[in-house]
Amino acid sequence: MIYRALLRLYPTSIREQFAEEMLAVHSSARERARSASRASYLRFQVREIAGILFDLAGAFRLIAFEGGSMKRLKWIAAGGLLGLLAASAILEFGFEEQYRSTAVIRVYPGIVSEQFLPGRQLQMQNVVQRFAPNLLSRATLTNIIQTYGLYPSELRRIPLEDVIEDMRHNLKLLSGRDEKLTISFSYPDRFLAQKVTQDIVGRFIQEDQTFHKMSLGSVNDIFMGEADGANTDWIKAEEELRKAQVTGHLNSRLVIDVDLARDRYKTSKNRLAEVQRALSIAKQKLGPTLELIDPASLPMRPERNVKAILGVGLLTGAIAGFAAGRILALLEKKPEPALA
Amino acid sequence: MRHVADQHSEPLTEAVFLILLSLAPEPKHGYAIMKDVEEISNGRVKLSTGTLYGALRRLLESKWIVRFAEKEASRDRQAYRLTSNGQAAMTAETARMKSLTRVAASRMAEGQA
Repeated sequence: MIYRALLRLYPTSIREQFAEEMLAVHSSARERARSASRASYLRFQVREIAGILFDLAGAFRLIAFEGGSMKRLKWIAAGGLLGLLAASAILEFGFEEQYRSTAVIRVYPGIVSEQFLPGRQLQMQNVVQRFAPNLLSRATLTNIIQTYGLYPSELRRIPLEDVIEDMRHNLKLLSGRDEKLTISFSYPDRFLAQKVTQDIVGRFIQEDQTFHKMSLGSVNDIFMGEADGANTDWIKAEEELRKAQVTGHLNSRLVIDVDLARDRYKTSKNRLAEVQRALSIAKQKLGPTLELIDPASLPMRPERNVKAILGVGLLTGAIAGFAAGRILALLEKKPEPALA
Repeated sequence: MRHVADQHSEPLTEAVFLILLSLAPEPKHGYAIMKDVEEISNGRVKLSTGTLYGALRRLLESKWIVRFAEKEASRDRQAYRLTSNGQAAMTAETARMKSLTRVAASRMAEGQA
């Protein structure tokens, strides 16, 4: 595919005459290299790309200097530059400005010790991975679009799915190593950009609290189950001891068993009480496992999309340059002598 | 022309010489030339299609080779044949190399003596 694209870069005269043949030879050689070994195939690909690039440079140099058309290349370059400027101007002034509102949240050190919350790791990467799919889901974004009346003109022109996709591009979640998450959203209306960012931050924190509550509930269940089990064991051991006393088969092993079961029950009951105390504190102060550091900003200046300006500028420049070169080529053609 | 010597005055590049050598016994199509060059050079010279066709274009412009449609059962394929100019260039290059080899051999013999 790359090879085919590179072939398109040859001057038309060469391309028309040789491209098909070169492609056929390349395909045969590629099959041969592929059947040899992976390393051989890799070397072949590198050789082919390098070879075609060198040949391309040679082909253009030939046209430029041997055809005496250096002037045409200058026109192409000038056209390209003008196109770049024109495209940049169009993007700068002709497109709707976008404002980006940004908020920062971070993972707050937990109230409950890590040992009581199995599987919970204080890493923002994990938090993002856990909640982002739900927050970026079609349902959530549709809800946000409807709540704030976002993208009205787009919704008239393109399907909702495409609008949601655009929104996903405008929404950025960046997690750093410092346990911080930057949430930002860009939109032509700066107030709406701020409101949507606030909303998303709120949903993030809400999701985390829900998850946290569920984790606390499961921790309580685990320790309660352990205490219940120990209690049942103790009751059974005492029952056996009583039977042995009645039948006169009492021995020291049964007495030790009852003591051990009673100790196990007491230990697990104490542990359950400790956990429940910790959980009750956690429930009271449940809010900040994720805390908001910087609330959603109200952007004052529109953001500059340098990549888009350069990308569209270069593309337009290339087209303009190519067109300038073609027009000049047509002008350079000598007119046919008129018939007498 | 950079890679094809003008009036046989400059030495040929190895790729051009090997391509001419490959076409010396019989006309060949592009892929056959590529494989033959590899074989002639004992696997040392592996031409990329870009290098091969760059050289072929220059040889065509110098009229050292001609291009023609090779009729096959399945499809028409372009093949290349050496012209009398091309043969002359190759003969001249071979003579130059022979002369150089002779000089090299004699100088080396002098050094050993």
